[in-house]
Amino acid sequence: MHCHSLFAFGLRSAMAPVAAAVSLAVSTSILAATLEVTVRDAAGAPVEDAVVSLVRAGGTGGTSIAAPKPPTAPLMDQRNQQYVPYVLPVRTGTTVKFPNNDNIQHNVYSFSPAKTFELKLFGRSTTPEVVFDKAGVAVLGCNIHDWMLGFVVVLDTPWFAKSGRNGSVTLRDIPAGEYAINVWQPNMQDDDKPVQKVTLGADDNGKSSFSVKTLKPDRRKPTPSNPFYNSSSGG
Amino acid sequence: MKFDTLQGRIALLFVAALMLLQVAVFVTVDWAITSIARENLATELDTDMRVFHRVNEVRTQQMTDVVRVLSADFGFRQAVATQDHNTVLSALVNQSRRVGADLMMMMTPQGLVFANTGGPPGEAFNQPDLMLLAETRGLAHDIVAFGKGTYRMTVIPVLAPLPIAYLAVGISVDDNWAARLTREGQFNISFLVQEDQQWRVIGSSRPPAFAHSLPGLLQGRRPDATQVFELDTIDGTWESVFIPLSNEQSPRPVAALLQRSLDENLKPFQFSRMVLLAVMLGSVLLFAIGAAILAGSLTRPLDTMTRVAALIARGNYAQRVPVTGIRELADLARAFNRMAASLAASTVSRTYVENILQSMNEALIVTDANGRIETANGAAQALFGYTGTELAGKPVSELFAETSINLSRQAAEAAAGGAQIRRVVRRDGSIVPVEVAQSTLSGDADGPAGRIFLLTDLSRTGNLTGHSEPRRMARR
Repeated sequence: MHCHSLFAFGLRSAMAPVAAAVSLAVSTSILAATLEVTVRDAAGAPVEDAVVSLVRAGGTGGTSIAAPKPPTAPLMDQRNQQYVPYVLPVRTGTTVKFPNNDNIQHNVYSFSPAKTFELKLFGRSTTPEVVFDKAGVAVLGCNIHDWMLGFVVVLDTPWFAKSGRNGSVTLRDIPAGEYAINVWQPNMQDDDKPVQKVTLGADDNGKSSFSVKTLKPDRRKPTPSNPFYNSSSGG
Repeated sequence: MKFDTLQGRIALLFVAALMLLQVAVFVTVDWAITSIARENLATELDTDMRVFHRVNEVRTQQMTDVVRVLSADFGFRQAVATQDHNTVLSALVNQSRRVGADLMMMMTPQGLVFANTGGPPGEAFNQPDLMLLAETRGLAHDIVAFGKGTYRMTVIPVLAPLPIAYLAVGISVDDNWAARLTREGQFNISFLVQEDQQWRVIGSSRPPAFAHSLPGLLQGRRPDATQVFELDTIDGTWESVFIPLSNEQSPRPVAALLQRSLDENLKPFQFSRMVLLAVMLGSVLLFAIGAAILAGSLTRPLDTMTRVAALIARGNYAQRVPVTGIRELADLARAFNRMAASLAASTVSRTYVENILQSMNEALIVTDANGRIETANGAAQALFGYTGTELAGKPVSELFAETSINLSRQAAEAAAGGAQIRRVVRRDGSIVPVEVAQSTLSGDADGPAGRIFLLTDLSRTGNLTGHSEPRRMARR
C-alpha cells in the first residue's frame, strides 16, 4: 500500500455524503416533481447547514441534464473573520467569488482533494474567484486566522439545496425517475451514511423528514474578542 | 576479677548499670539522628518531586512549542496535504534535532503512521484515544509504549483547518532521560512499568544491578505519590517515593521512582557517632577500674575479718581486726572484736578438755546409743590393754566378764545413784575387778546419745570391796 492511500485528510464524512431514504407523499403537477425534505438530528431538532441532494440512480446525477447555470457567481464572503456562508453548495464547474468584507486581509486556502488552492493575502479591493471543477468538499481555512472555517460542497447534480434554521429544503423541477437522496452536514458522524432510493413520478410533490445521528460539536471557533481584531463588516 | 565475689559483683553491677545507661543514650541519639535524616530526606524528596515535575513541564513545553509551530506552518501543511512523505519526514527529522526529541511522527486521521523518525511508516499508532484527546483539546500528553520503547509523548492535530493529520513528539523514557534528570535535579530516579502486576525497570540513573533489584523490592506496591517509603537495597537504604506518569486508567501504568540514600545522608553523622561510641567505651573502661577500686576498699576489711575469724576458729582468741574505713565497716569491726573478746572469756578450749581427760586416773569410756565405744581415755586404754583406735567401735559389753551385766538405760539410771563392782576382761584375758559408775550422755528427743562409764581399777587400789565415792564427769 502506498502511503498516499493512507490519507483521507479528515474529510471522511465530506467525501461520502449520506444518503437517506425518504417516504414521500407525492402530488402531481404539470411540469415536474417537487420534494421537500426536513433534516432533524437524533433529538428531533432541525439541522441547519445540511446539504440535501438528489442523485439519479445508475448515473452521476445531473451531468446528462443541461441545468441552467446560476445567474451570478455564488459568494463565499469573509465577514467578521468568518466565512459566510458557513456551507456553500455549488454544482461542479461553478466559479465561486471570495469577497473580503473585513478591514483586514485574509489568506484563503484549501488542501482538500476536491479543490486545492491558496488565495494569497487580499483585502477589500479585490474579489478573487475560484472554479470548483471536481465533486467533493473543499474545506476552507485562513492561513493567518486559524479559527476561520468554511465548506464549499461541490456536487455533480443540479438538484441540491442547503437547509436553513428550520432544517428544511425544497428541491424543484425534478424529472420523474429513481433517485438517491444524499444529505451532508459538517458535523455529521463519520459512519452516518445510509443510502436509500426514491422513485418520483412526473409532477409529484411531497414532504419528508430525514434523521441524522447525533451531530459532533460545531468546529467553528469564536472570533477573538481582542478589539484590534474586531473588523466592521463592510457590507 | 571473679564475679562470685562481692567485689566482682559490685564492679559488675556498676559497669552493667553504666553500660545500660550508655546503650540507652546511644540508641536514643542514633534513633534521633536517623529520624531527623529521614525527615530531611522526605522534605528533599518532596522538593525533588516538584523539580521533576517542573523539569518535565519545561521539557514537555519545549516539545509542544516545536510541534505547534510545525503544525501551523503553511508549507508543512501543504506537504502534509499533498502527501509528500519525504518532505514531511525531513521536516520531522529537522525539528526533532532542533529540540532533542527521541521520536517524531505524523499520523493520518485514521491512525496510521505516515512518517516516523524512528522507523518505517505504515504502522498503526496504538493510541487512538490520545489522538481523540488531541483533537478535542488541541493537545494531549501521555506515557505510551510504541515500537520497542516507552515515550512521554505529546500529540497535536495538524489543522487545515480541520485535522488533516496528527503530529507526535516523544522523549524516550530510558536510562538517558533518567541520567539527564539526575544531572538537573541531583536525585536518583528510575522509571518502571507495571505489566501483569509486575514492575519492570525501563530506565534508571542507578547502576544496572541496582535497577534490576528494584522490581522484587517493589512487589505489590502501588504508585502512590503521597507515601515516602524505605527500600533496603543491595546498595544500602533508600528513601523512595513514586510519581505516577501515565494516566490513572492506563492498563500499563508507568511511574518514576525518586530516591535518596539514607546512608549518604547519615554520613556527616558517622564521625559524631564514632566519637560518641569511643567516649562511651572509654568511660565504661574508666568506670570499671574505679568500680573495682571502690569495691576493693569496701571488701578489704571483710577479707580481714574472714581471715581473723578463721584464726579464732582455730582457738586463737587473741586475734582482732583493725577498726578502720567507712562508718558501717568500722562498726562491724568493733562488733567483731567484741564477739572475739567474749569468746575468749567464755570458751574452754578442746586442748584443755583433752588434757583433763588424759590426766584422769579413772578409765573413761563413752559409747554411742548402741553401746559401741566412741571415746576411751588413756587410763581406759591402759586398763584394757587396747589402743584408742582398737577400742573405737567395740561393743562395751565385750569388756565386761559378766555376760549378764545390764547395760540398759534403765540399769544405768538405776546405777546412777552409786558405783558397782564388776569385773572386766583385759586384752591378755586377765580379769580385773573394777568399780563402775554409769551416766547417760544426753541426746535429743529420740533418746540419749550414749553412755559414760567411769571405771576404777580395784586391783591397783587393793580395795576390792571398798566403795569409793561416785565421781561424775562434768558434762559440758
